[in-house]
Amino acid sequence: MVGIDRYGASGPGGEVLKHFGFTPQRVAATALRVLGQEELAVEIETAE
Amino acid sequence: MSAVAPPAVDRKLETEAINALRVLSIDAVQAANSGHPGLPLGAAPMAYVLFTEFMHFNPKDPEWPNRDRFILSAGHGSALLYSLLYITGYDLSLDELKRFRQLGSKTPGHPERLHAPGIDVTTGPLGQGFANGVGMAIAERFLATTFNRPGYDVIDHYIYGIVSDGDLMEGVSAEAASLAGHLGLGKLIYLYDQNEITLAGTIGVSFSEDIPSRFRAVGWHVQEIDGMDTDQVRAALAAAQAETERPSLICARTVIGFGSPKADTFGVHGAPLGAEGVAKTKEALGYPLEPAFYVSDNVAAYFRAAGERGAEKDADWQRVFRTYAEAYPELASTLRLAWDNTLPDGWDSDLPSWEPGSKPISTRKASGEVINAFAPRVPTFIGGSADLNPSTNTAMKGAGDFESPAAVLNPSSEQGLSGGDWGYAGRNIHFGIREHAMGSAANGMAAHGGVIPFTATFLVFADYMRPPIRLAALSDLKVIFVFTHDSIAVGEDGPTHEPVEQLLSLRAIPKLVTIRPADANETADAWRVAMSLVGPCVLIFSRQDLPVLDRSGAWGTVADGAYIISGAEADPDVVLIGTGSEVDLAVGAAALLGERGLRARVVSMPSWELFDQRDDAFRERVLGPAGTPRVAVEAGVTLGWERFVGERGAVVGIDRYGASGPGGEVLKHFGFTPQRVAVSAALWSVSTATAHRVRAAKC
Repeated sequence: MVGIDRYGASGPGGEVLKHFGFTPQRVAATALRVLGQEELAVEIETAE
Repeated sequence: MSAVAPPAVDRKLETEAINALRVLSIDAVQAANSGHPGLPLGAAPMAYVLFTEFMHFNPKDPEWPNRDRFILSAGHGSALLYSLLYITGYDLSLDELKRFRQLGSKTPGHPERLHAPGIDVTTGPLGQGFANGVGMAIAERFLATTFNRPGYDVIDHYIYGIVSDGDLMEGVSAEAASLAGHLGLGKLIYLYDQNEITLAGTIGVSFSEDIPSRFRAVGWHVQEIDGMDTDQVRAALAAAQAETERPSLICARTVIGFGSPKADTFGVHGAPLGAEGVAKTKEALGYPLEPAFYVSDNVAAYFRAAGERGAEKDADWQRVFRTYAEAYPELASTLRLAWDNTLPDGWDSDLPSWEPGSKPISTRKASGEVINAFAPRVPTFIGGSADLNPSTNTAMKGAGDFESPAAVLNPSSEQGLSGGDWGYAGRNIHFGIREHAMGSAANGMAAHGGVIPFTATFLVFADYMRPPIRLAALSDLKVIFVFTHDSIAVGEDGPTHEPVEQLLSLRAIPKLVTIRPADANETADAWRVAMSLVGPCVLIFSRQDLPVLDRSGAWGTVADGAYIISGAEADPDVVLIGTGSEVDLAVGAAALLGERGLRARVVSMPSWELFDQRDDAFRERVLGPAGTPRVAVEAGVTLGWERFVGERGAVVGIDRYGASGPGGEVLKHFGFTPQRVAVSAALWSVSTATAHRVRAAKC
């Protein structure tokens, strides 16, 4: 699951979302991990 | 102890100092391109007078116990507070001010306790700070009356705040004002930043009541002044200090956004002024346009001197405390422990325990016995209920009632007292039917320090208290929130009074620990956990009697969040997970299954959050390996239990509102019977045939 189980933080909204991992990359990486594709997940996470 | 204003006010320096607060604030907002310039521009004069001439604080010792407290209830004006902390010498750098509202800074959008030194309480949701201050004033009077001795006023300070139109519109402030007036909390002094403009308009569109009359009617000392006139602010603060038997509201008429092109309009409430607006404001104030965040050496020295005077006061106090500790070593040691949030040795040594199979007892009643067993050993444990002492079992018998000594001439005529003295040393607080203010005041007591506050009401009213519960969790305030009458078993009062979704909704609050014990012995353990936590805890108790469970085959404890009650051997056919009153139901269901050849494990899970803190191995030992058929049973909504029972599991819960009737009948009506739990378990485990047999038995 990609969610937030803690309190947020003060900062520009876009940065706050990114800080807590609400990015297409993290969602895609999470999906890949569910599929057992760890290497691809890391590749996406480290791409930028 | 009225503070003495400098004999002759240097008007030029004063104006420059006030403008420095304004400029630091608007430059911070401009740097962030986000924030609220309106309040700092209007409230700077009174903040200046308060911080430089009245408040006792030591920037180098922000936790000085006897400091005056300051609450910016209108937390959106945080730039003003950060400016004050920076300029008076707290450990808050100019760089932090420049990083206002940025990720990782010490200067978040609203003031947050523990983020920067000098933030006495987290504020922002309007009305909360107002009510927090009432709790701080309760704590101050309680500690002063309990610990001070002739010649040793070790606790003796004011609670100041700046409150806004919005704070006074929020209902919680009305509840809290009524309580503060009743209690005669004379050390509480609020400056009402009456700019009569809110985010979306003038208050003429929504708020036309007579505020001074309203506060006078609930027992406050009220003054009306021009908040832009520092001499009027001085005189009003001095008069408020002189009033010792009533809390004070100083209605200070101010101009929002003073000096800016958008002064006195709602446009300046919560939007940056823009580069041009900032320049025009500085021009209007006669302040240097460049550089940003400029403060003259003169002004900086003046503010620092205020902090240094506070440091001297702190040093004086430390000396007094040392001689106090010699004269009254036990009192001093108790007070020190309380300040350090350390429980006295052996605090729980008198806690009762109950024999398995002994007379059934509700967990609320067991809780009452537990509280009264440790209360004598924890003299700074204070609190009470929202007019429910006979129902929540939270009175500390003989520990006195927290009331104004001046309020009632004949306390013996009052009903509902707890026994003991009537006065500020009383540990039983009668919050009245004001749940929201009760929660917020308890937060204020915890933020003040020196006391462990608790509150109590019915679980269904937790919704009235959700804002302070969330803030307690967010800002690590040790408050114990007791909720009784925890399910549809409430019975006759019907669905309005039968909580269904409250337990889950409390579990959704990050950093909050909820505990719903299954019987009297778990109740004692739940209190042990609650008292030992750093942050807040919610304790949830039954109205109805519950059997005292046999834990002779138990594996784990309440502190683990979930543990095995019975059936600890490996590879059970099914695991039954219950909380609170439903654990006994699971025990009954396990017996039914056992009679039909299914080995059922019973797990008591009083606290999801504590269980989440255990490692995977522990969790698997309790719940069985992945794939183990599991059934959860709880008299609440089923949402969320999927994470424990998994896709193959089942949940016996209630996803609708309850009904009015005798509690036992209501429970049965909604299927909270050992039979239904056993049927669910059988259906979802290995044997559909067994399910049919259990169902057919109808025992």
